[in-house]
Amino acid sequence: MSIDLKMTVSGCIRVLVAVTAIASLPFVLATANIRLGTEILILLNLAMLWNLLAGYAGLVSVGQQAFVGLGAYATWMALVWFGFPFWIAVAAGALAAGLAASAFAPFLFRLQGATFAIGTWVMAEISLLVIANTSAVGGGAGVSVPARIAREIAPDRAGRESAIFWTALMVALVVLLSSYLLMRSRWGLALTAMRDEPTASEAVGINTRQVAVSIFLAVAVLTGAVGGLILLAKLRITPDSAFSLFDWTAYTIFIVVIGGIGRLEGPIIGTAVFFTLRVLLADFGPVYLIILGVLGIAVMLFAPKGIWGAVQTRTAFSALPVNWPFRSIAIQPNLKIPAEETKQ
Amino acid sequence: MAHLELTGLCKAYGAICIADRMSLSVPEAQVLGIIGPNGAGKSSLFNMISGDVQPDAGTISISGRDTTGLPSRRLAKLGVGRTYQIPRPFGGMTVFENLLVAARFAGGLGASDARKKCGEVLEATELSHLTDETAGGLRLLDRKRLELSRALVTDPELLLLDEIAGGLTDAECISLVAFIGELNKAGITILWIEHVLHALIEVAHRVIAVNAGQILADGSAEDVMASKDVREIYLGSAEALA
Repeated sequence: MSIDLKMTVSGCIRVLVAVTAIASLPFVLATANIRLGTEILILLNLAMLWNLLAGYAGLVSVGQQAFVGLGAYATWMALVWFGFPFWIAVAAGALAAGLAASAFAPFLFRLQGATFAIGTWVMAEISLLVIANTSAVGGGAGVSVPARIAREIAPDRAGRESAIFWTALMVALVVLLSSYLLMRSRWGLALTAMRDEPTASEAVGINTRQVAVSIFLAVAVLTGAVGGLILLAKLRITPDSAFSLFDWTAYTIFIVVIGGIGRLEGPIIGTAVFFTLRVLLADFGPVYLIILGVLGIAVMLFAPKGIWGAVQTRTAFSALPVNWPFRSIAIQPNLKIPAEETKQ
Repeated sequence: MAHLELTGLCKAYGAICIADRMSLSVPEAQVLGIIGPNGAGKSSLFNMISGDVQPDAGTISISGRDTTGLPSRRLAKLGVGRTYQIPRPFGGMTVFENLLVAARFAGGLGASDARKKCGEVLEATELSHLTDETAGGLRLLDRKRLELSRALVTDPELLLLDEIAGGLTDAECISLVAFIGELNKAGITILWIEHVLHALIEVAHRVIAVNAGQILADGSAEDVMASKDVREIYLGSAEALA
């Protein structure tokens, strides 16, 4: 166990150094680059959350944009109607998404596999239509955060971008840390077991429905918080942008699949690859999307476990190990191996 | 009091009846062998006892407690362990993790107790050399061992074994029979569905023959094997044997 402790301490130090480095970026970067940083963190958050849902719990949702959109709109309401500070408004976005998820869950969890995926899509379309037809939140035209309220976050633009960047970083840390702790707990074992074999999971005492609903709700809450961040970063949302299947779910799935689904490192690698490609191919217009598509297909064909999965298979290296190696406990030498039985 | 008591159990899928008013009483610490042709309803009987499938009518009680309608996760905690005829490993997890999840949930053990228990069972079932292997990559025999191990870490009182001897070599079969005998000596009631009859007969106190959802014969292994009905169903018509 001392080895474990040593690894934990050194891991914590490494994470702390990395977080401090990332958190101090706004002091050295230009405002435009801080913005890009926030955008990266937002997609990273969505990717980590989708990975938790699809990669670990086996719940393939193509409707997470419902919670992004509802979170963004609820954050707007909390900011503009009730005048809450921005971080409480983001929490309100999270809460609203959680409430919406608990309303949809009884219907969605009657469905399984592909029909579940379609159900989540329907959920997102319903959410979009409800918002787009509500004139109090601007209907189809959308809403903006008034300059007065934007100035309350920070008086100047650079300060505001930094504040939003740090909030996004904090959400990312919450998501990463809670995913890690979840996967290290017995519930992490239950999630993986459920994904692999639902029938046998029940037979070993797991309430698979309860676990699936819980993870769905938790992911929805955090996705709602990311929706709030998106509102703060954009300051203007429309139903089409806030509930965008393309921006909040399709890219997210691409990131997770190329990075490595069902691995905590996967979304991080995938996000890095995605934004590198975006910067490199920015001048090519639609060709950029074609290249993304080809890359996605190539990864699925030649490295179905994603880039990180391929690295892991070759090197057995894991930056964020969540498996339970048997070797970490002392094997008692007095346990005899019944070798004589096999030799009969 | 009987450990397992089935009364008037019925189950049909459309016109196909897999349990037709089946009644059975199994005393504690008995090894009951279950034989019968494919499709006789043997595995379905296990599915009902373990809560994977709910019967249409009839009752199931375990140690005097009515467990009809309970889901498999509850029965697993009440001491019912089972293996599936077609192994159902958690393919993406290691052998050790497969056991660990069962010990933590159905076994209700804490983290360190569960690890210890899993280590002991892996030694006993001769899987210790594969602990950190991914279960999805195991060969069939090791998958079957994994099924048995995963049931054992939950400390079952009633163990349902579904065709675990098929495909074993003679030596492995002898070893398995000895192992099942030991489990029984430790007080576990065992229901064992098996086509490898010579293995079954070694350890079973009692055998029932099932066909078309009914119990055809019930008694000692010799009596059941000698029964005319069983010979007819199992080996073809009596004329063919003559």
